[in-house]
Amino acid sequence: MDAQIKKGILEMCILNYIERENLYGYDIIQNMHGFFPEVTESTFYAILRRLHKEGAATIYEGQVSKGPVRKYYKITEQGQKKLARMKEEWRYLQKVMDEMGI
Amino acid sequence: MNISKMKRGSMISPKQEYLHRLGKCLLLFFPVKQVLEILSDYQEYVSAGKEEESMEHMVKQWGTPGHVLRALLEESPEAKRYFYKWLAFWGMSMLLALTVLLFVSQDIFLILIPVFVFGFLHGQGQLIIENHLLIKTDCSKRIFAAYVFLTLIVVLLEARIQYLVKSPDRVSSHIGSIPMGFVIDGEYVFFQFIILLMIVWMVKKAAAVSIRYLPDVAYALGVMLFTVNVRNCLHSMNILMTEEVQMEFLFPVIYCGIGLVIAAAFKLYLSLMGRRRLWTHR
Repeated sequence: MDAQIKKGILEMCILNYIERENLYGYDIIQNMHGFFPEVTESTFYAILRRLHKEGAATIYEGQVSKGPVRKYYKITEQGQKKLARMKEEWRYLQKVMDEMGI
Repeated sequence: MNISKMKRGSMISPKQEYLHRLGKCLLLFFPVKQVLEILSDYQEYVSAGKEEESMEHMVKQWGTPGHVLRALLEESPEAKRYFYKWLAFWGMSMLLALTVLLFVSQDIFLILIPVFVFGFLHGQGQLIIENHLLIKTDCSKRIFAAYVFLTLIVVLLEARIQYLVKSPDRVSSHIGSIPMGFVIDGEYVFFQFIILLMIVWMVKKAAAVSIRYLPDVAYALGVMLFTVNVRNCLHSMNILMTEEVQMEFLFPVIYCGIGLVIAAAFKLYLSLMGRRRLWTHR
């Protein structure tokens, strides 16, 4: 997949995931691997860190029944706005592609 | 990469060794705090995937630490800028030291200053990562061997000079056709060369492996100064043994002692820092 296209799509997909439910890194990556098997963990983690740095997601520590402490990602208000904007742009692109017959 | 092979003499697991190598790769491109965050992510991934996936499987997925670094650099263009800034800074420092060495002072130790400072700062990052990953590299035996070796050199050289001073009539003027003065000078030059190699090796280790090697550099520098001054004293052996000359024989030993005190103080500082975990991302 082209790097530029990949960058935008992966961010949108990850934000979409954590909007539905707060997840920790491993779970997010395992879910994303199902759709993008060629994308490495390094790329996913870099995107997660970027989202956190931009303020689109926050991190909190959580624990599941005596298991190890894990970092959970939660979408912020800023992240929701970003996701909404990205979804709108994606729908517009889809419409353009359809009209162009691609 | 055969990650199942542990480091010789080390007590770290293959996973820790992989993360340790990854941390060292990342240090050149990311600040320490960010390196710790990245390592935490991978640690969490490794611990989460414990039951389902083996370490070999994970490494096959991720590749070598170099591959991971390249993937991270693709997503983080600011990392390359950080690296170039680092490179420019240290390059300029070395250039400055070289300029001073060539045109201002003949003291060759000047060139070691930027290398020493680089080793200290970069070694700090290494130490933070080691503390974070709870890694203890088994370098204590090698360090102990280095101290013993250097101390033996000091004792040998000092015994040599004491023998020459106190029993000059027992010392032959030649060994074969080679003048004794030439032989003795050659011994000191040889020892200086060995010590210089050790200093360069220790500084490199401090920069590339762990700050724990730096105290040994301080000690080795003291020994180096000792040998340099003893040679100077030997060159003035033909003058009368006045009290001033006798004191001159004492100063080289003092240099060595100062180096040892600095090394011991530094080691104490490092051990206190390790216990308190002063630097942590939490």
